[in-house]
Amino acid sequence: MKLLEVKNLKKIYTQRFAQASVTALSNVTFDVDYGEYLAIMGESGSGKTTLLNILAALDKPTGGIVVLEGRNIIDISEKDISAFRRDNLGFVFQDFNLLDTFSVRDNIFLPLVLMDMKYPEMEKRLNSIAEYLGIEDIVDKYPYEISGGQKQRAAVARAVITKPKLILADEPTGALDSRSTDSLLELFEKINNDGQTVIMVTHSIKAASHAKRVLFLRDGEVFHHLYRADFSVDKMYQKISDTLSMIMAGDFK
Amino acid sequence: MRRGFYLKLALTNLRKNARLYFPYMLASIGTIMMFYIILFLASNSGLANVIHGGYVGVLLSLGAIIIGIFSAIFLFYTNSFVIKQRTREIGLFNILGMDKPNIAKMVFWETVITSSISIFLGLVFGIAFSKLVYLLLVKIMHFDVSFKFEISSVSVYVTIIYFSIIFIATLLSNLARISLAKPTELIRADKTGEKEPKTKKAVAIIGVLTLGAGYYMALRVDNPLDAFMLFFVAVILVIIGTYCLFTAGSIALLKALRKNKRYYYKLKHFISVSGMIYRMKQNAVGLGNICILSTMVLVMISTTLSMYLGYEDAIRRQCPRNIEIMSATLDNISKQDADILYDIVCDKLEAENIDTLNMLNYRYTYLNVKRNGDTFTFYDHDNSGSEENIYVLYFMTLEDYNHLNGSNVALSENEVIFYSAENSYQYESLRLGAEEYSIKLMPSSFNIEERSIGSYADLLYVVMADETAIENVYNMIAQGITPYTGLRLYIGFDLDMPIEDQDYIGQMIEQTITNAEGGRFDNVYVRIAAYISEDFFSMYGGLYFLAIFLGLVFIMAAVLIIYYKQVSEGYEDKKKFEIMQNVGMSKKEVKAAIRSQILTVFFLPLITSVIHVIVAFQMISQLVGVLGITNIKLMFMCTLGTVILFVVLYSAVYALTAKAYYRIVGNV
Repeated sequence: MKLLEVKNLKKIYTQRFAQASVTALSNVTFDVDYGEYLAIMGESGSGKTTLLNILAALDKPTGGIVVLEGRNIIDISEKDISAFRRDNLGFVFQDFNLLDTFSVRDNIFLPLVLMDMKYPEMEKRLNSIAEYLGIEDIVDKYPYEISGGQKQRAAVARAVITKPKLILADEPTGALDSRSTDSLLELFEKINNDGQTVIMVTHSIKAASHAKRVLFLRDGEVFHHLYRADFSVDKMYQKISDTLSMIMAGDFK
Repeated sequence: MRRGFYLKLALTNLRKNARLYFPYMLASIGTIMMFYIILFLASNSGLANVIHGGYVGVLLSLGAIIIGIFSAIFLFYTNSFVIKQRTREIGLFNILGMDKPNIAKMVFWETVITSSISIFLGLVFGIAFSKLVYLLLVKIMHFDVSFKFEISSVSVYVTIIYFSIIFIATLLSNLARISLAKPTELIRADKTGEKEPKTKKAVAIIGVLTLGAGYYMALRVDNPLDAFMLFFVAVILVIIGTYCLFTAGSIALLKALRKNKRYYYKLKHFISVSGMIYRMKQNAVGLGNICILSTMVLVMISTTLSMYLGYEDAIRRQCPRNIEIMSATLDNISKQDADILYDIVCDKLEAENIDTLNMLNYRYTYLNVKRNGDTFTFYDHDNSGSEENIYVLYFMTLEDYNHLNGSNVALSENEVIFYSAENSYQYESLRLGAEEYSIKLMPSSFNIEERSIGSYADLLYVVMADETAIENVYNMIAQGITPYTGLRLYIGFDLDMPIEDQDYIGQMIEQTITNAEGGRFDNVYVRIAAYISEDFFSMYGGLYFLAIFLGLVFIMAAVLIIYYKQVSEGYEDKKKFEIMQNVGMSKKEVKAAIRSQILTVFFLPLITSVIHVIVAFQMISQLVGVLGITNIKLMFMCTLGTVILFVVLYSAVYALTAKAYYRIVGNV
């Protein structure tokens, strides 16, 4: 069943006083089912970030639609957009985006406070996920007291605590060492296996090889889909690697 | 390297960091201008030659010293702020291959440029505005001098030398700072200080106690003597309390709020409480400074303004009549001589065809006494400390009393007429020395009640049957410590004419008395209120002027501190608000959060200082009461007006600097 439909998405950046325009997305169409784990890959300039920003309702496309559970998010007014984002989407960023002035607990509570939730309910939700996400030891610490891997776990907790329909992760392993990367990827797999839909934009083959499907972008278009199906992570890694070599070599069309 | 390279680099740096250097140079120019102006006034020959100009010269010199010290501290403070904001940039230069001596050269040229421009423009504006300020001073002081425009070369030299020294000192401190730091430290310098502040409970408690004690003293004080003794203690306690509460108390309070989960986890409180904890950590001292500065400005201006406007009361208290004829201190005068003098004065006035008002003519003596119930004992100023129930007991004869009041009261030997302005004496007799005197009459008003010597203590009047009775009582109370020397003369009257004419008539009468009867009365002197009023003007006007002048300097300092705080906080908050928007906070919510936070930070010192002023009002009114300013209503209006004007100015400054903040935080 479809959670997200992206159809004929187009984004052209024009400069105000210049004739030249840059096409970031020329024509992107794809669907995401409930419970899917999609990785989006591509080189710099392939339109990954633009796509993610549009999915996150941070940017408006030049053309096309993005439908989340039957609702076109392009049409949501500026006034309601923040509420829409915090009710439906969870975000994980490369540089964690944790506030140093808040403890980990308060960072995780931030979206709930924005939703005007009652405090006991917040505690209940945190308790239900703290052990699951392996953050019970750090909730009372401050971001500057914990490691990068722990920070990203806290960020994941902040994303999932609102029970979003979709989690958008932007290079979540980009700032982590390999051990933390492994453990974070396991975490993403775990929450995905428990039904959470995840879209991850990444450069890392390793990160992408954990996804159920990998979507390759090239010059603003969907170049290729790769389904994991029954492949092992290692096999998937190999296939992604091959595909990327092919894109870079450019001997197609 | 090419010649002039560092100079060019320095110029580029200054231009790039205009946001930091422009206000810094503005502040330097402002302080240099003010310093020059006050030096110029203090050394101005025109002012020195005015009859009553002496006070003003002393006050202005004092002001120059205060401004000098203040500018040094202030410029150091702002310089340290500027250099702190630039450490990252300087660290980058270091990593890109400039070694420390090269950087030192660059910083040296930057300092040369900023300080020479500041000194030059400061002097230009100083010279330009000195005329305006001079005219303002002359107007405030009611001086009648013609202005000759001059540039005081001494003041120019002193200003150049003094501020060169300050700028060289700031340069040295900057160089020391740079040479001691490692490049990586320089780069990271502005990222330190993010740890959560500790709660210093002890300091917070000290703050509550000292502030409470200071407030208690200020509110409880009900007589000028205590006010005088306790004023400085109270001021110091309140200053300590303010700093303690700003630094530790605020954090303790915020943390307590954070502990209350149901309160804390609400959108309105969540971001502001947590943000404030960090803001207070970084800003507590700066905000404390602003608070103390504002309080000083408010107290100074409101007090001196009420003194300046209330001087007529003060003169009336010190000289109850426009023209007063008195025997010199301790000189007695017989009834006969007093009558002769009175006739001389009246004859002269009549001959000159001058009408007088409110004529008083009596003889008196007085003693300082301590009251205990109905018993009055001698009070020795020098040998006793401060005590309560101290009064000045005035004695006069029944004859004078009847004469002044047009009455016909008779007294027997142990009877007195007693008057107290307070009307609080509830006994039926007085115990003076060993004797008891019954009060025959306690009039509700007394013709000469305004008479006072600017005294700390209240006055009591005792009218006795005759001079012998007074002498007996006096000796019984004083017990020989101050021997009885007889009664003194007082003749006083008002004139309904301009001040200059009063001055003239006063001198004429003095001449007449001195020449009368072969100079027999030449130790009798004439006090002319008009003359004294010039002195009051000179002193109170000088104080008022100085208060405004210092107030301006302090306000300028507060403005700059606020501006720099906005700027530094803007950079720190930018990232924070981006993150909040990323996790789903709307622009509107972010805006509201920013607003409430900066409003709290910048109006906290103002509100605190207004509370300080309100609490101090009682104490200050007691103090200026000693100086003769007893018009509480006038004082209240002056304070209210000053506070309102200050709040308006402060809010305007806030609005201007908030713009700078929003520009940095971005278009959220």
